[in-house]
Amino acid sequence: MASYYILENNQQVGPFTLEQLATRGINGFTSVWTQGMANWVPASQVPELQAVINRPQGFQSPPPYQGGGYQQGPQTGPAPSYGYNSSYAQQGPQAGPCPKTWMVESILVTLFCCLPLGIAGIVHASRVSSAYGEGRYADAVRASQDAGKWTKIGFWLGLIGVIIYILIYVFIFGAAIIANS
Amino acid sequence: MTPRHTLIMWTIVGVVAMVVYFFFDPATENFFPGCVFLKLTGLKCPGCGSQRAVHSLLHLDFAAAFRYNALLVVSLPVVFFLLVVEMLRTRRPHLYRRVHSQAVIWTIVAIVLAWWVLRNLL
Repeated sequence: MASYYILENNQQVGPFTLEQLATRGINGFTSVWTQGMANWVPASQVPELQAVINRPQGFQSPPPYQGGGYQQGPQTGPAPSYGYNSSYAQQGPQAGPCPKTWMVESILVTLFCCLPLGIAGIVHASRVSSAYGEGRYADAVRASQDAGKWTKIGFWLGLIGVIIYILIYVFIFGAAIIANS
Repeated sequence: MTPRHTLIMWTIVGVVAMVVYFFFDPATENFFPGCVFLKLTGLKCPGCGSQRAVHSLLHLDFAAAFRYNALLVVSLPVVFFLLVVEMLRTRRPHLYRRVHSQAVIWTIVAIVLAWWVLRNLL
């Protein structure tokens, strides 16, 4: 069962199950985060949450004030801001659980892929940790993506090397069989 | 891919690799890929000997595994612990924070670098 964290008044609350979110009353603009997401996103962008958005159960927070008068209607007002990451990074000390640091994966790449790129991954893990510790959540997310990139480059280079090696081996082995027959 | 799919895929890869490394000895069979860094520089990298060490470990020959790559043997329990913490990242965010602290990360970097230098000097 997936569990979701949501932002209420720029405070992270949760985790909640879908049922709990439904009774809590969230709208399409509520920032949500669940495992597997790199960033907070508006609930309206999460397919699984469509069923629980704007349910008239319990207390429901009003939609964000968008400026403009009644006569204009909500559609003609300025578009709601989706700059969730930067604004919450400045306002809240911790906008979600610490992003993946990729430390374990980097250690495994270091030990098995024979490539010093794993060490680069571990060093990047420290950037995730320090940015998150200082409350710079958006920076931590970015550092996490960097760390993941280095680790994946190390992994794929290692795998490509192995595949090339096996192909060469099969080629030489095959050539030897043909030459002997 | 959901985390569950990722977990299943890596479990399969791990089991297949363990079967291969159990039945074939990288120390005597020559179809296992060697280390590129070792070939280019003549120096061992932190991961050199891992394949032979895994083969020895699967045959419960811990002394031989330790000789092939001591760091691998020592770090396996640590890696297992870290993987468990990784899976609990959203459920136990504070544990994740404490384990992935600056002190821990830089200690690991220092150990790996020291191992890299020392194994080439000894």
